[in-house]
Amino acid sequence: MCAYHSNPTEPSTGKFERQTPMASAWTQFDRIPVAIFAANNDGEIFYTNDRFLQIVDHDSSAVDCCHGLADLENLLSTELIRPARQVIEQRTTFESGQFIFVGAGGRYYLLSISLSPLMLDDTCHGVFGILQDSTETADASESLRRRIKELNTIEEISQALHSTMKTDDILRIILTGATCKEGLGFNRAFLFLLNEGENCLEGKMAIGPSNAEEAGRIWGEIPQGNRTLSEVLAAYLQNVANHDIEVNRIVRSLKIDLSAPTMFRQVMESGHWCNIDSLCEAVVHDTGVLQALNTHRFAVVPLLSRGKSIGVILADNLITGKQTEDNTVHLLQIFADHAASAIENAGLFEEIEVKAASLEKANLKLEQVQKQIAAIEKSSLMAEITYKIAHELRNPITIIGGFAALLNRNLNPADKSSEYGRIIVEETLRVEKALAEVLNFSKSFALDRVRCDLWEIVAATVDVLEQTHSPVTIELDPDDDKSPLHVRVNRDQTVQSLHDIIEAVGSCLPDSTPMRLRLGSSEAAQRIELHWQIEPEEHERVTSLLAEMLDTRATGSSLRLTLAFETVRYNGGEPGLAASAAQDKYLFIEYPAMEE
Amino acid sequence: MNATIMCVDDELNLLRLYEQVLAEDGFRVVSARSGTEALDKIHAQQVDLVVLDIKMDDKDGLDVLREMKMENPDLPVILHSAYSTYKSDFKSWLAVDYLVKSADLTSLRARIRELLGVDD
Repeated sequence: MCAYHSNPTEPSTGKFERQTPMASAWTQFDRIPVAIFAANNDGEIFYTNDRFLQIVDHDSSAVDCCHGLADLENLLSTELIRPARQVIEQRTTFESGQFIFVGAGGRYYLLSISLSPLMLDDTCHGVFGILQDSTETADASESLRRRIKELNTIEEISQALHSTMKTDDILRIILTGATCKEGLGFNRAFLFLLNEGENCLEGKMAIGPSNAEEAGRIWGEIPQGNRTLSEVLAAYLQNVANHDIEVNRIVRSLKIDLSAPTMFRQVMESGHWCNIDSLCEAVVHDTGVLQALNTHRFAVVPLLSRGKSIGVILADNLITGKQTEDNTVHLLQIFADHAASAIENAGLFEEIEVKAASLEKANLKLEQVQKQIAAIEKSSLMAEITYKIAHELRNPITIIGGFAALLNRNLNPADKSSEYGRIIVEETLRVEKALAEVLNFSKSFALDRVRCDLWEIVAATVDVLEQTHSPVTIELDPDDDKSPLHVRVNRDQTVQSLHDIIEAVGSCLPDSTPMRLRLGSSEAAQRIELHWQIEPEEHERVTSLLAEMLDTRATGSSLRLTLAFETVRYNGGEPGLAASAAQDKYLFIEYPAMEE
Repeated sequence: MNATIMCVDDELNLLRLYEQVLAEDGFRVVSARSGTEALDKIHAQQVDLVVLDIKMDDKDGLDVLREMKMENPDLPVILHSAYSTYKSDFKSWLAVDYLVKSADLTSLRARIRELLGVDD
């Protein structure tokens, strides 16, 4: 293709041969990449360069008949004659706006025209025109605009994903971002996560309509207008309960076996997305899942976190039938990469939350233990003081009692004073006995709590009862599970207190009433239960006696039993009275279970 | 001849009680209000049995016991204390018996008679 040059002052010799001012100068424009033309004062085109011919199509008839500005005006469908006249008459320049021109083969151009007067020796010889092709610039601009939108979308989704640490919210954000028009615009999206134990993908969540009718309803509820993706996500998360029930039901019923050579497995293993345009051999092993999802054109992207696939997102355009472009799938992949990190972070966060809760619980327990230790230390100090006082009292009591006994021996038994002496001796011995109990209690307050099995403590207690020929009859339930029930107590104190409690309860029961010990555990406590069976008419009396024993404010209970219950409490236990299913009362002691 | 019993305690009234009760049982009683006094007196006279307190102001009864047994290994000594905890102290094992003080002196009297071979 070659431009034709002519002198506009000379008669034209061909279709583009016109008289050309500065004829020799025009050749320099022939191959420049800007389309140029020139017309004389009569509007006859006398020069066009290569680029001009390229745009308006040299080989077409359009160019053949393009002799003047009027022809060019018709061809480009943009006003030229009037502005050219104005340029020539007023010696001004003209800039057209951008217009679209459909060239050869239906190719679109985005063009604009500049006209300026063709001046030589202060005389205007016509117009000089530049046909500016902005098509590529516009394409680049459109591409840039699209890229910016995509980046904005990714940024907004990324921000949304970082706004929560709840896995369910993250999954919803992922699927909403994939389906809303402000996001990736898929009709539906399904999320599957890897179950490593079962080597399968499990359907977790889905968004979108299951059919056209539902699509109309769901999409009809979405408010129209320009909203940012963040606004859409916020609105969706607030109204999540009303949507997508059917697809969620479907996806949650699905499990994809990863031991079979499926397309899903390939995506998981390769870490590459796939865009399936029609059901083909590649998905022959996936037909069950695809039928359940009622899809045959879809994209699947892996959720990659630290190089490992933790699941996939399947997205399709079931309702609109729109073909999914690879670019969009690529964007979905970028989106999935963010999502995968967010899912993993959420998992870690939830793990940390559980650990933090456990730590808080441990701290609380530690605080309780510290309080308990402080209480025990205080008690221990009191016990030490008691111990010393008791010893200080023992000498004078020995002296008083001893002299009273001596006096009594020398008195006539018939004498009233002898009676008083006997009373002094008896009461002294009673005080002495009480002192012995206080001493036994207080000296046992060495803080040597160790891990003990309640079964061993019970066995030791039963041994003591037998060796001391206790009148109580105690039995162990042979059907009880003998698994260790670990508690942290002072073993000797616990055996002593259990022994004293059993004897005290035995003393409340009718003679020869057998008692049965049962042991068991709950989540936080190990429990000893003391059961008995008595005649119904005895119930009230026995219950009343036992309740009085357990009442820490009561003054009627024996010092020995009071000390036994206090010993249970100082060892972290708690005694109580309860009723069985048959309404029989029984006594229990609960100790905090020791963590293994 | 009546046997001689040495009673060692820093409680004067307790010594008076021992003197009275044991005298009524037919024994001669020598009293000492401290460990030092007891060791001095035991050199000066024949003693058949000692009733010894443990916790005293000047000298620990267990140390007094050790010194007495060094002098006379065959001397029977009964430890008689308000404390029961010294039973686990191996130094107390030198004594022939360990009794916790009580207003009821029956046990003490019975053990003394038994050790001295005196019939009821």
